[in-house]
Amino acid sequence: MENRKITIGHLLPDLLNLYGDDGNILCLSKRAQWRQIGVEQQDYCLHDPVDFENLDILFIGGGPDREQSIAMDYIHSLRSPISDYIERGGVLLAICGGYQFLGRSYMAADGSKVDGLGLLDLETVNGHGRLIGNLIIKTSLCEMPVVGFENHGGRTSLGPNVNPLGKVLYGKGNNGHDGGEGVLYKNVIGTYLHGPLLSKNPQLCDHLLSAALQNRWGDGTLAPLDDTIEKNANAYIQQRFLHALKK
Amino acid sequence: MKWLSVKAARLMTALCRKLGRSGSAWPGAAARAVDPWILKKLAADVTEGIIVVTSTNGKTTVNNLLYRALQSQGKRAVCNAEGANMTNGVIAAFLRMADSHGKVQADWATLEVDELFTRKIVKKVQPTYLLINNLVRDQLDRCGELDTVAATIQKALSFSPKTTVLYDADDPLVTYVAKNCGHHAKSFGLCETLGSYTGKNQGSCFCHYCGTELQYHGEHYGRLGDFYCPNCDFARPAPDYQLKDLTIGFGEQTEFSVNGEMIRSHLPGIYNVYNVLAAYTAAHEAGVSTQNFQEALDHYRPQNGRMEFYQNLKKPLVLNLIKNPDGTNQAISVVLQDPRPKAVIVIINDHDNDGNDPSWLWDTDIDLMASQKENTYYACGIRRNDLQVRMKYGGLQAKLCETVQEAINDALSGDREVVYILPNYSALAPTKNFLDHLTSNEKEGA
Repeated sequence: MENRKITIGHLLPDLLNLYGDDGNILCLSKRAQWRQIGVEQQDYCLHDPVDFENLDILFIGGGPDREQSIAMDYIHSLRSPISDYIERGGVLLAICGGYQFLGRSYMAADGSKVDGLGLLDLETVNGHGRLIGNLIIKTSLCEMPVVGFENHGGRTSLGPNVNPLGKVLYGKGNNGHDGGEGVLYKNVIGTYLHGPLLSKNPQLCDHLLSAALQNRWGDGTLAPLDDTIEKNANAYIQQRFLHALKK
Repeated sequence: MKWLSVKAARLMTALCRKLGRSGSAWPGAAARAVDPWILKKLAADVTEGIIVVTSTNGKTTVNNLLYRALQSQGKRAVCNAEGANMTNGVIAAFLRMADSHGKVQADWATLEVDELFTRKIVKKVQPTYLLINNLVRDQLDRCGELDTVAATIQKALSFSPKTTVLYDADDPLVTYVAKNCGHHAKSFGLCETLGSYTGKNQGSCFCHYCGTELQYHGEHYGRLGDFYCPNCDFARPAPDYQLKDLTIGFGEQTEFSVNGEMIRSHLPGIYNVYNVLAAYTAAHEAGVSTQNFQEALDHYRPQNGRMEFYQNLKKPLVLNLIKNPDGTNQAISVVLQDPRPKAVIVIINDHDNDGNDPSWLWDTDIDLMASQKENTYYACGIRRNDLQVRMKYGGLQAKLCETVQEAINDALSGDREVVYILPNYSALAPTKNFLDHLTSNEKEGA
């Protein structure tokens, strides 16, 4: 009899919600529920308190420039508890703008520098033109390549204290030249991958669920699911872009 | 120069016809190659006024309705009715009304214009009216952020200071654009409570002046409603064209009054109430009587896959373009209003004109369809695998079909009572062609 349950928190869903990224929460919830694992979802709107003690997975998306600037004060007010949460191995998924927040700084569209939370050893500057297109990476976290779509103006460089989430097989990734994509630090994943990320990458989704369950219950085991549909969608992207590259 | 330019376009039209190409943009490109100022010159021939229609959703419906209304008032009008809404398509529309000397013979022009092309086109045609019905999040990889689109339209208006802005007062971003540009403006809006439809909020609902979350008096339809900022004085203005006494029917008439004048509409969905209201506002400003507007509306049959009904197939079939979350949610709300067990075919491609990234499917209310247990679903198009995953997580089991033909044939021969087809942009034309082919087969068979 399954009695495990987890809490998934979404930071500022009404401000940081570009292009289907909150689908990641749907993927996490469904894949837990299909295994009879209980799920509680929490949305944190501007100035809501966040109960980090009872939080198992935190999601931070990206938003349009104006919305991100509205969000900034609130996010900075959470700096210290987020830092503790990360250091004790809390699971955090941050996409695009949310990923950039975690670093020391990033740039607004007009080129002005914006202070990030400075929680991870990374920095983002603007480059010439946006990096837009399908993106395929190989990460150590799962066996299947991770596929998605990137659309970002910022170029992110990682410092020596963190690792990239994976190596770019197709597309641009963090900055278009060092071959890395995203960041991996303890149980924190930051990435430019939309899709949403977890929809076509069920193994990565399960990796996050498993880490969260391990933290809370000391038992991260997951019953297998039939992922044929998700795997086919993943394979299609690989076939179309990777195989074309090899030809 | 103008005469030569028109001649070049005519030659191109003939050539296209000979090659069997229907592309409505080629003649415009030829005309522009000969004379880069051709659009400005053609527009100057129009005697009474020019209306430019722009918004994220509903441009084609509003523009075509407006065209019919002007015609029923006895006006000769230029219109890019088929929806070619960039520079070449607009030029081609003027050329169709040009005489042998290259002079446009028209009283009015009503033009739908892609949001990102307003800058170029508004500058050249100097419209009497610019109609903005709604601005919501669209294909992000093509259009960029919503605020960028709004800024483009403001820039366009700065090149045409005499243009009157006609706008939806219920849409906070549209109202912001209208208020900020400093132009003469008239608004329309619903002064009426709505039903219980609650979709996901798309796009911005934070005050454009101070960043506070906007609040609403009474019910609201997504971001549309009687909004106000609790922190500053940004609020919905009292609309100049006030819609009241609304009764929405499905399969029967929707009725409402605008400034006391009753309108009956057979177009389904709340979003079509806004479309009709927008068209009425512009038509009324252009001097069309309510009676003539009603007559145009009565005879208006949606085309180009905008809630287009097919009656002559084995089963009733409805075709509706979907291209962004907002429009898709509108289509889904119409599907849900129809109580019959139905087959729903969704087709998602990822060509440049569709947007290469289908992530937006996760911003739609596809999940709501799971409440209807007797439906069947088909996932088609280049990104059918993505779509099938999206549907799975929304609680829908979709059958994967490699071709649209296969899905349509299967749906028509199945036991569901009605078929809904929801293609995105590039999937629309091939779907329409196949349906027209089926329709003509049915006629021959009968």
